[in-house]
Amino acid sequence: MTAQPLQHDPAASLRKRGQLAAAPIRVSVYRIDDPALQLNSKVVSCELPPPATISLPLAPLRVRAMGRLLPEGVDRLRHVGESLRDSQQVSERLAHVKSASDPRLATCTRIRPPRDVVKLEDRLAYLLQPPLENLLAAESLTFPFRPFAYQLDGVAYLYPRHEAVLADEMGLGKTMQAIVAMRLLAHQGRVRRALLVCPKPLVTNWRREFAQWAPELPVTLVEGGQAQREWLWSHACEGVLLANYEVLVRDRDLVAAIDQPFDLMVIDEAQRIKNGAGATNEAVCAIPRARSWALTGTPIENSADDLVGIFDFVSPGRLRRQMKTAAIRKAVSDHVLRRTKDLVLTQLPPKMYRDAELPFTPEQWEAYHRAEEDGVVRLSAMGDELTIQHVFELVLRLKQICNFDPVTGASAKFDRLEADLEECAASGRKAIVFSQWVDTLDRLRLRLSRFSPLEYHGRIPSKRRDGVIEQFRADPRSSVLLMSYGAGSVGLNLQFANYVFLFDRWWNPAVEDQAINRAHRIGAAGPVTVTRFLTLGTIEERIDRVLAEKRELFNAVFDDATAPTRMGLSRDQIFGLFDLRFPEADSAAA
Amino acid sequence: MDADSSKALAAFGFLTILESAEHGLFGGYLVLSPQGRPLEFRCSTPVAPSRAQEILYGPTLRPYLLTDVIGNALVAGSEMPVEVILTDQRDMLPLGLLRPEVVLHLEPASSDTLSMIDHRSCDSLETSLEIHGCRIAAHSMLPADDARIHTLLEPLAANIFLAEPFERIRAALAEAQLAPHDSAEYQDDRSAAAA
Repeated sequence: MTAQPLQHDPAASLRKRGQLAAAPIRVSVYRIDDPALQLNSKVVSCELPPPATISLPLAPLRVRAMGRLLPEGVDRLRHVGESLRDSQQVSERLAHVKSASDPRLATCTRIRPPRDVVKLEDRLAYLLQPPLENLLAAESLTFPFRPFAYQLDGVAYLYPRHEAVLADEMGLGKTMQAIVAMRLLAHQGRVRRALLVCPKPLVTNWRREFAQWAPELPVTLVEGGQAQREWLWSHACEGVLLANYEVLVRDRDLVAAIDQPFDLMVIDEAQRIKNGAGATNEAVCAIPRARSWALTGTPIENSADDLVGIFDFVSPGRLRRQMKTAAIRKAVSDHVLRRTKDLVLTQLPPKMYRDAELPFTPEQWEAYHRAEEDGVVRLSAMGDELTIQHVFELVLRLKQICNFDPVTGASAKFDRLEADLEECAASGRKAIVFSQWVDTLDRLRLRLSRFSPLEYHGRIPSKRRDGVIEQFRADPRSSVLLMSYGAGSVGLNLQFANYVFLFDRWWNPAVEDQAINRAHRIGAAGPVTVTRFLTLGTIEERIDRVLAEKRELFNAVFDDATAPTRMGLSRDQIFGLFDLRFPEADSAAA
Repeated sequence: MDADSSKALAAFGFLTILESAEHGLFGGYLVLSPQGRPLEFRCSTPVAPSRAQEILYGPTLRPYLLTDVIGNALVAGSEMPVEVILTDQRDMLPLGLLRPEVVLHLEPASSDTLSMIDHRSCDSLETSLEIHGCRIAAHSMLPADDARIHTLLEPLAANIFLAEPFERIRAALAEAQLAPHDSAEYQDDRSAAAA
């Protein structure tokens, strides 16, 4: 058989007709002659080109792993090779922990790193910690009762921070939160020596709270003669030193000279150092310390500069005087934790305000207008001699007349108070009456004698004060407590009182809130009714407007409200109470 | 070392991922002490398969990524030995086929979506058991008896809610994502990764 290629390309004609793709196809045509098979025909042979291939760009699926053993992991690996004795200790600790914890109580309070911790490794160290509940259980820390979730949040907030202001509204348990955070740090060996500074009347309260929330922490009160105090400052190396502000100022040189900085220093009612130029601020800020926590329900009482004073202690340099509200807000946002009762204590009984806006008695009316007219005339006549002190004197004079007519003792407020107290006593409730003047409280005591009122103010010796509170709490016959704002507005737990009367108004709303929250706090058995007395058409009404503006300032720094443009009770506003103008010469010099 | 002390020195691995729409899958591995305290933490760079890989791997892609690519890399690089690894990702269970450790799937028993799944109907899951409010399951090819699982997990379950550590890992991975890439790596890890 023979095969001969023909000079013909059938593929070309197919391509022309569009029946073949453009790819070259090799086609051969053969003639086959095979007499044996009686074949005489053409055979077409097609050779297809190799198919085109496509490479898909597939990147390898690989990851890089990074990370490391954490400090406890390094210790753990070391333990594996150690003696049975050590292992047994670990085992005993484990057994102890087991009994202290119920993991099914799956409340998780996370410990978040402060914003000023910038190194990722350090931030992860916080994020990888167990929830606070587990840390507390691991240290076998038990409590008299289970803290509220927001209180655990507060502890988790303080725990990792070196610079913190806990600014919860009064009555939310700042004391307890600070103690628990301190206790946890002490158990972990991070705090061996702490200093707690508080106002003198609150020392007893702090001791009681320590006994309740951290009974194993040794608390030493700094008191006694100078030699004793000197010894305490230099020799009390473990536990908590508890001092009041007055002692601290007196011993400032001793404390500032201690060799070893305190691991933690906590100041309660931190508004006490709001005046950056004051001796208290200076003494507090001079104490060497590693951690600085400030507790206050009123971080701003008068102006944003109050907060600057507190931050002189907490984080020196973070705030400057005259900073704008928005800048302050941004600078302190991670350093201040502020919660209000409305926000976190939905179960707390309500607090109801009643504004008792009263007209004068005829005697008060006459006395008030005579005093105001005479006073304004006198102030106007002073010209450049006029000072803010002169204006204050007139304000105080008028406010006192709003309480009682100085000659006859007539008082519209008293008449109303007496009627309200009748009702209180009849229902077995207890009431607290606040005034800024001890003289006013004295008058009230005499005229309310049938209610057997108790007194708690600056003229009551410190040693007697705890007894007064205890009698008010326990004695059913003592239904009225007369308190001054100065002595009774901070730190006291009077949640068994259902009525609060503000017989006159303080200069800033924060102090009023402090006073009210003696009664309206955790443990309050029922609603708290707050009656704010105000005499119509008087200086009290004008001051009330200024107080409302101060609340706006506070909200601008700590809440989400829009920042107001006015900054509270300025000098011009005080003069403006009487339509007076501050003398230009003094104004320029001021 | 007696049984008690070995329990005390036990360590527990927790393995999960964080899915980022932007970067892909990040893996995180946390080793805890029986008290729930962190002993070691490792995380992975993100991995994002291409469209072609999605097509080619098909339904096997996710288990492959979670098990072979992420899980194995993380656990293999760990220094702290563990006997059991818990994961909240079902697709990570096949890691037990690659590793000597017991790998178990864990989910909160109260989880609405997950509680509806009949584990017996899932190919990869063995019948689950419940420990302190968490449902535990093993891979069907690596069955583990309930008593052993109880013994393994009880020291930790007595102290923490077993599903909780996954939150820690995810928080840490989220934090690591925010950090500049250089700071996300420790110096000694770079050399280890290069090796």
